[in-house]
Amino acid sequence: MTKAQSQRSANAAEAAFRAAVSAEFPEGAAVWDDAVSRRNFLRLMGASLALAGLAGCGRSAPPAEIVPAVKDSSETQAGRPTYFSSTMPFNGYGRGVLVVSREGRPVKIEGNPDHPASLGATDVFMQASLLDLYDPDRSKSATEAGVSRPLSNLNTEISARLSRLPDGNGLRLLTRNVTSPTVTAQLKQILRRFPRAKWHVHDPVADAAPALAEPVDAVYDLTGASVIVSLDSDFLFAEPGSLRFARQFSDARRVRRDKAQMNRLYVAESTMTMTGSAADHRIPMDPFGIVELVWALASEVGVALHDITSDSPLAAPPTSSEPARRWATLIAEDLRRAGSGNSILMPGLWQPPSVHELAHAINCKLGNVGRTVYFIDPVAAQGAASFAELVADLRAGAVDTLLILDGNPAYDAPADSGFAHALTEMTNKTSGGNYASLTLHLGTHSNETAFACRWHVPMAHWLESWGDARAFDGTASLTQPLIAPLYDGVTIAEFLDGVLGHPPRGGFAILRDYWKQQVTGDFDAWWLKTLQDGVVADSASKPRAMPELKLLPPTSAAPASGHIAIFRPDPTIWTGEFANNPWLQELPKPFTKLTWDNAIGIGIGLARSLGANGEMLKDGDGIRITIDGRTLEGPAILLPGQAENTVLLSLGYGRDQGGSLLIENGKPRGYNANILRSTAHRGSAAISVIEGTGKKTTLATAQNHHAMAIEPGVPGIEPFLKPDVVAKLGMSVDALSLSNRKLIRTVTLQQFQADSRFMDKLAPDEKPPLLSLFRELPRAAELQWGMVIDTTTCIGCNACVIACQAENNIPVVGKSEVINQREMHWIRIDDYFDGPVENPSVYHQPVPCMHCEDAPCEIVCPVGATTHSPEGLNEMTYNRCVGTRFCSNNCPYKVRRFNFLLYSDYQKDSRSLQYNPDVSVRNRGVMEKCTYCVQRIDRTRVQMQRDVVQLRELAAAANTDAERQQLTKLAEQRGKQVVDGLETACQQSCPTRAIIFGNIADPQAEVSKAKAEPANYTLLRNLTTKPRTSYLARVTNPNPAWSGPNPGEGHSA
Amino acid sequence: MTSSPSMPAGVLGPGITPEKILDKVAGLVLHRPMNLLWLAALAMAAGGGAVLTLSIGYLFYEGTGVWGINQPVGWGFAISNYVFWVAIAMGGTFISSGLLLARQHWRTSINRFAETMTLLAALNAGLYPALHLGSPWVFYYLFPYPNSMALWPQFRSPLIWDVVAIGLYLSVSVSLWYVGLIPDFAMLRDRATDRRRKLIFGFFALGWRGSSRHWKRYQVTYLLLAGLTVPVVFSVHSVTAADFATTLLPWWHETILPPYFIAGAIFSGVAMAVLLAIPMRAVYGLHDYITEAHLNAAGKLILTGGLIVTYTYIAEVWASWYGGDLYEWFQTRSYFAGPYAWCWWVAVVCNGIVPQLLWFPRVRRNSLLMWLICSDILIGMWTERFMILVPVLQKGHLPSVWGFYVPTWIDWSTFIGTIGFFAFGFLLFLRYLPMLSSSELMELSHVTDAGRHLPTEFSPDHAG
Amino acid sequence: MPDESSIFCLAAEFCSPEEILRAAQQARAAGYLRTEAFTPFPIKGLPEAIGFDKTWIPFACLAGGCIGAVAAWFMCWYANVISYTWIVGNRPLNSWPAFITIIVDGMIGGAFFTALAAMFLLNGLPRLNHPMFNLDAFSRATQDRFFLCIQSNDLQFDPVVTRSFLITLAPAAVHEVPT
Repeated sequence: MTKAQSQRSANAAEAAFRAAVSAEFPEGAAVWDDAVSRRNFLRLMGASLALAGLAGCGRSAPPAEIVPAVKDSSETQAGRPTYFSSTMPFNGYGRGVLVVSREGRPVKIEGNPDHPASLGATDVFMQASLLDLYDPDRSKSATEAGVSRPLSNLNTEISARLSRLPDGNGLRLLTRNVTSPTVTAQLKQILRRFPRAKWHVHDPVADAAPALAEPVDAVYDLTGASVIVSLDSDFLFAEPGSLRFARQFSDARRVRRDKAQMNRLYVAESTMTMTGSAADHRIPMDPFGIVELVWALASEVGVALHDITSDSPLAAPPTSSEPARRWATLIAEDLRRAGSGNSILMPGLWQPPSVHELAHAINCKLGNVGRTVYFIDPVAAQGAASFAELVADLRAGAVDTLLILDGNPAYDAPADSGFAHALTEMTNKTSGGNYASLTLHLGTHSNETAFACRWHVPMAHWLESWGDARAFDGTASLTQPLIAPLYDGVTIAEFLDGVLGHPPRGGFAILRDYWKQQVTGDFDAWWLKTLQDGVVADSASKPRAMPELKLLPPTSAAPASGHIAIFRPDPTIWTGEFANNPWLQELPKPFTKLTWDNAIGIGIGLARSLGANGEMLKDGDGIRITIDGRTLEGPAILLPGQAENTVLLSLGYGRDQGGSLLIENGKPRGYNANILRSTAHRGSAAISVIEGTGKKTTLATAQNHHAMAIEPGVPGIEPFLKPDVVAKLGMSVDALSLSNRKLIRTVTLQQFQADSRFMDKLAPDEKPPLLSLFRELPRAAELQWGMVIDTTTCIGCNACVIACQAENNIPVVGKSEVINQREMHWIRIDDYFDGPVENPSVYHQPVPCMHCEDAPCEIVCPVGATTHSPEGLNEMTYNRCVGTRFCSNNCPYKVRRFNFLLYSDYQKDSRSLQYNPDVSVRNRGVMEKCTYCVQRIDRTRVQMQRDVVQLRELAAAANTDAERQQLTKLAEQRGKQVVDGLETACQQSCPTRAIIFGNIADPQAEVSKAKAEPANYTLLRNLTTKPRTSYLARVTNPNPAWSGPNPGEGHSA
Repeated sequence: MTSSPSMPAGVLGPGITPEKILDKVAGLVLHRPMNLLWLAALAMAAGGGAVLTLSIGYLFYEGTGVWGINQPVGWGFAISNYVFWVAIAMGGTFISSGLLLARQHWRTSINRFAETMTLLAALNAGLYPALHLGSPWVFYYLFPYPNSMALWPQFRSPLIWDVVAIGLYLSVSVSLWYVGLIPDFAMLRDRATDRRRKLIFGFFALGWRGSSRHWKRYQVTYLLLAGLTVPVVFSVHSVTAADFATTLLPWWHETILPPYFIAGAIFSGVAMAVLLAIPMRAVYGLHDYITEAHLNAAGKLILTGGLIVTYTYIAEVWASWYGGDLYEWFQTRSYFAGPYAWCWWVAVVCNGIVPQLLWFPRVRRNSLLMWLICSDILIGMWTERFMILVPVLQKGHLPSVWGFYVPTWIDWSTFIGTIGFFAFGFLLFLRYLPMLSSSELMELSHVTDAGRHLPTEFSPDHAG
Repeated sequence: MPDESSIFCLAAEFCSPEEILRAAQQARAAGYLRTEAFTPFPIKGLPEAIGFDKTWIPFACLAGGCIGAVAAWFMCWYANVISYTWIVGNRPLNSWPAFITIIVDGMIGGAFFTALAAMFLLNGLPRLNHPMFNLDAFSRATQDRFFLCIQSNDLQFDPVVTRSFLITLAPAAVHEVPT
C-alpha cells in the first residue's frame, strides 16, 4: 500500500470514527415519529438520563426510516403500541422478534411468528435483553485507561497506527461468533485491505462446537420424528434453534382425546436439563458413559462404519458398560420399530466430535438424513484464525493493534490460555513513555476485558442498531433500531466501516449498501417488505451432502479420581453477558429455584460421601474443587438426577467489572467457573480433588422444599426431601403425605388410550359434584375468561415468568428479600420430583392466579380491594388496598404477592423507562397478583369496538344496499370476535404453547375444548374454590418394553 | 360477722366500716405521699412506651417489611399479640360484668382495677390491627364513612367485624368504667381539701349528689350495661376467632375456635387480674379488701378456664384425626413434631398441666403460688396465640409455597413496647384514681356488719 | 318567720341508713309528697319510701337495641345491594349470614348507649350546681351522713311546722337549705 493510500485510509478512518460517535441525524426524519411520541420521549428520557449521568442531551427517534411490522397500522398513536420486527443476536445467531414500542420507547419483546428460530415464541434472554437497553451501568463514553476521552484521540491514534502497519501486520480483530452477512463481508474486506492482519473468534459457547473434519451445521426437523434420542443435547432450551425445536417437539406431544399419539424422547445427560425433564426415559450418565452409549448404539443399529467413511481401519469401539449396553439395545429396538426416517439422534453441543460423527452415522443408517436431519454449510462466518494463535502472538509481542469487538474474553477465555494476563501485559507495554501498542474493547458494558484494554468504546445495544444476523438454519434477517443510541454507542458494522476508511455514514447506509448488492430487482420494495416481515425471504441455507466423517478415536476412559466437572452456561444469566440484568438474576433457576447466585450442583451420592462425620452435605455447604492446580470454592446445592460422580459448574458468575449487580458485599457474586476450564476440555474436565470446606452460605432459593413423593415410603424417596428441609419440617417424608394432595397427575400414553376415565382413578375423592351452600350469581357477561396449562408440554423454561414480569411491571426485590421469601413473580413454576433421587421424573407446574369462581381472597378483604369482574376475572384495585394480607393468607395457592417494602423504582432508575404504560406501578403496602393481562383484554376490546365503528361508518356511507348489508354483517361478526389475537403475556411467550387462554363461554374456543379434555383437572378441587385456571395431566410415553418403575406410571401427587 | 349464702365469708376483712373504707380509698388518692418505688416503675414503663413509639415510627417509615412476615406467613406477631391483648381485656370485663350478673360479691373490691386493666389491654389490642396494615395512611377505608368514591367496607370480611366489635368494645368499656367512677368522684370532690382537686373531681363527678332517685336509675342502668357488656365480650372474641375460622386453612377452618378463644380469654384475663392484684394489695396494704377469699375464687375460675382450654386442645387433635382430612392431620402432626412444635408443647404444659395445681385450696390461697401460676398461664397463652397463627400459615396446601417465619427485633420491640404502655397507664391509674369502688364497698360493708338484707344492687326485685 | 320562697327545702341529717329509712316512711305517712333522700350509697327500700318506684329506662334500652339492630342490617344491605354492588366470591349480594355479627354489635351498641343516655337525662346530670350544695354539711352526703329533705314546694310545707315535724324524727340535725 502506498503512502498516499495509507494516508487516505487513515484520514478516512479518523473521519469515520468522528462520524460514528457524533452522528445525530445522518438520515432524514423518521416517517413514523410524530410529534406526540417525540415529546413524550424527550421528557421521559430527560428524566432518567440526567440521573444516568448523561447531560440531558435529548435522544429521539431512531435516525433512519424504520418500518413497523405489517401486523399493526403503520402510524403510531399515543397510547397505542406499535410493533417492529427486528432481530436479536444471541451467541451470534439471529432470533426474530417483534418489539413493542410505546410513545417511542421499546417496552416489550415478542417473538416474530415469521422467523424460523422464533415462530412467535421467546425465551428468557429475548425477553430480558430489553432491560439491558435501559441498564444504568452501561458504559456511556469512550475511555482511555479508565479516563473519559474524546474519540478524536482514538481516531488519530488508530489512523496513525494503521498507516504505520505494513499490510496491517500486527492488526488483530477479535470477535465473538459472527453470522451477520454485513459484518462477515466487512471482515473479508479488511483482510483483503490488510493482508497480514488477522481475525480471531472467541465465543464461550460456540467455541465448544465440535471440530468435525468437514465444518457443517446439522439442522433438525422434529415434526416427523416419533423417537428422539438426545445425547446430552439440551435442544429444548440451550441450542440456537431451541424455540423452533421446542415447538415441533411439543406439537408432536400434545395429546388430546381425538389425537392420542405422541413421540418418545430418550435423553442421556450428565446433569438435569429442561430437555431431560421432558424426557420419557432420562439416562443420567457422565460424559464417558455417553460416549459408550453412542458406540454401543452404533453397533446395535449395525452401522457398518465403512458405509460412511473412507477411513479404515476403524477405531475400535470402547467396551461399553452394562447400563450403556442395556439402554442401547432398548433404544435401538425402538428406533427400528419407528421405521426409516422417523427418528433423530441429537448430539449435544458440548459433546466431543466422535459422538457427533457417530450420531450422524447412525442417523444416516436409520435413513433420517434428509428427512429429520439435514446438513448445511456453517452459518457462522468461517476463516477466522484460532484464539490460541492470538494468545501466542500476544505473548510473542507480534500484535500492535488489537481491536476486541464485543464479548468478554478476559473473563470467559479458558484459564489455561492465559489470555487475560497477556492482554494486560500488552496494554501496559510502553516505549519511550508512550503506550507501545493499542488494545481496544468495544462493548455495551465496561467489563473485565474493557478493564484490561487501554481503550473502551461504548457499543450500541441491538435495539439501538441497524444490523443483520443469520438464524441457526441460515435464514437472514434484519435488525432495526427502536431508539437512537442512548449513550453514543456504535455498532460493530459502523466501527469496521471506520476501519475500512469509508466516509462517515450510519449503520443504516452500511446495511442498505450491503443488501443492495445482494438483491436483484426492485430493492426499495424488497427492503420495505423485509423490514416489515423481519425475515429475508427464502434465505435459509440449502441442504448439502452428508459431510465426510473421519472417525476419531473415542475419548479416553474415566479419570482416576472418578469425579468430573460439567461446565454449562447458567440457565438465567447465560455466560455472564446478562449478569447485570436484575430480571434474570432474580429468575429462579430450574430445578434448584436458586436466585442471585450460582452454586456447585452435586448429586445425592456425592453429597453423602463429601459430608463430614456421617452427615450429608446440605445446600449452601462449601465445596472446594481443584483441577490441574487451579482451585475454586463455592456453595453446594443438591441436584436431583445429577449423574453419579459429576459436578455441575455453571458459568457467568464471579465477575467483577461492568455492573453494580455483579458485586455482592464488595466481592464478585458467585464463583467464576472459567478458571477451571481449559482449551482442551471446555464442556467437562476431570477433577483432581474435591472436598468440603465446612463454610456455610445462605442461598436465596425461591422454594425451600425440593421434592414430592408420589407414594409415601417408596424406596428412594427418603433422601429426596433435602435434609435441611426435612429438618425444618421435622418429620419423615411419608408423614408429609404429599402424595395424596393430587397436585400433579400423570398417566402413560397407554393408560390414556386405554381408559378415558383414568382421572377418576387418579383422584377418586373428586367424583362427587361440588355443592354450594348459597345460590350463586349467574354469569353476567357472555365473555368468560379461563386458562388451561398443559403440563405435558411445559418444559419449565421460565419464559412465561420473565414475559409476565416485563408485561406487568413486576419489581425485582433483591437477594435478601428473596431469602425473606418475598419474591414478586406473578407466575411461578413449581418443580416437583418423583421417583429415586438419582434419576427422578420432573414435573413443571406453572402457577398463576387461579381466578377462582368462589374466590376465597375476595370474601376476606375488608375494603373490597379485590373483587370479581362479570367476566370472571379476580381483580385487584391497587389504590383501594390497605394491605391487611388477609387475602394472601386465605389463598390456598399462595399466588398473591405483597409489596412489603417499596420495591418499585419509580423514576430513580433508567430501567423504569421499560415500564408498560398500560399497567400501574404498585406502591408499598399493596397486594398484587396475576390479572390474566387484563390490559391486553381491554386493548383488544377497544380495538374491536374501533373496528366495528369504522365498519358501521363504511356501511352508512355505502352506495348500494348489498354493500351496506355486507358491511353491517361484517360489523356484527367483528363485534363477536373480541378475542381476536388476544394472548396473555405468558401464553404469547411460551415456546411449547402449553398455556391456553380464552373465552370458556364459547364452546368452540381452544380453551373450552382443552377444558373438556379427560386430562383436565383443577388444583385442590375439594376446597370448592372452582379455579378458572386448570391443568392437563402430564402424559408420558415410556417404552413399554422397558422393565422397572415407569417414570409416569398412572398416579397423582 | 354473719354471712348470707351468696356471700362467701371473708370477702372483706373483719371490722371494716364505711369510715375505714373512706379513709382508705380517699386516702390513697388524696393524702398519699409521692413514692419512689412508684416513680421508678413509672419511669421504666415510660421507657417501654418510648420503645413502642420508636418501633411504630420505624415501621411507618420503612413499611411492614421490617417485620418477619413473608409470602406464606402474612400475619405474624401483630395479629397473635392482638389476640393475646384482647383476651386479657376480656378477662377484666368478665370480672366486672359477668360476676356482677352472677351476684359474686367478691368482685366488688377488684372490679375497678379489673376494668382499668381491660381498658388498657383493649387499647393495646386496638393498636395492632392499625399497625399491621401495609398502607396505614388509608386506615379509614375500614370505616363506613361517606366518601366521594361512594365505596363501603366489605361487610363480609371478618376484619370488618373486628373493626366494629373492637370499636364497640372500647367505647363500652370506657363508659362502664366511667359510670362506675362517678359516685367516687363525688366522694373525692367532697373530701378534697384544696380547691384545685375539688374543681377537677367536681367536674368529673358531673354534680352527683347521691339522690336516692338517682341511685335507683343508676343501679338499674348499671345492671343493664353490665348485662349488655357480657355479650359484647363474647362477640368480640368470637369475631377474633372468626378471623381464623372463616378461612380455608387447616386448623383454622373450625367451628370450635370461638368457644376455644373465649375460654382462653377468661383464663388469661383472670390470671392477669390476679397477677396485678397480688403485688397491688401488698404495696397498698389492701389485705382487708383483696383477701384470700378473692384468690380462692379467682383460682377456681382460672382452673375452670384451664380445663376448657385443655379440652379444646384434645378436641382439636381428635377431630383432625377423626375428620380424616389430609391437611388437618398433616397440620396436627407438624404441631407435634414440626419446626414450631415447642409452641404446642409449651402451651399444653403451661395451660393444661400446671393449672391443675389449683385443685388444692392451699395453693389457691397462697399468694406466691398463685402469682407464679398466673405468670405461667400468661406465658402459655401468649405462646398458644403464636402457635395458632404461625405454623398454620407456614405450611398451607401447596408444598411448593411452604415458608418459615421468624420475628425480627422490631417485632419484639413493638410487643415489649405495648407491655410498657400497659404498665404506664396502670401506674397512673393507681396514683390518681380510686383503685377501689368506695360506694359499693361501703354498701357491702354495711350489709356485712348489719346483715339485715342483701346488698341492693344484687336484688332483681329492686332493679325493676 | 323566714320567707318560704327563699327556702329550697328543710333537710334532716341522719347517721345511719336504718334511721333515714324509718324517717322517710314516717314523712310519707305524715303526708309529705315532695321529699328527697341523699345517701352515700344506695339503700334498699328508700326510693319506694319517698314514693319513687318505677323507671322506664329498661324500655328505652329495649327500643334502642331494636333500632340499633335494624340500622346495622340496613347499612349492610344498602351498601351491598343498593349503593354500590360488586361481585365478591360469587356470594349473593345480600348475604345476610355474613352480616349477623355486625347486626348483633349494632343492637348491643344501640341498647347500651340509649340506656346510658336515658340515665343521665332523667337524673338531670351533668348538673354542677344544685341548691343542696349550698349546705356545707351536705358534703358528708357522699360519705357518712344521710339526708332527708322536704321541699318548700310541698303542699303541706310550712317552715315552722315541717321543721318541728322533722325534729320529731330524731335527726342529728335539721338544716334549712336556701335556694
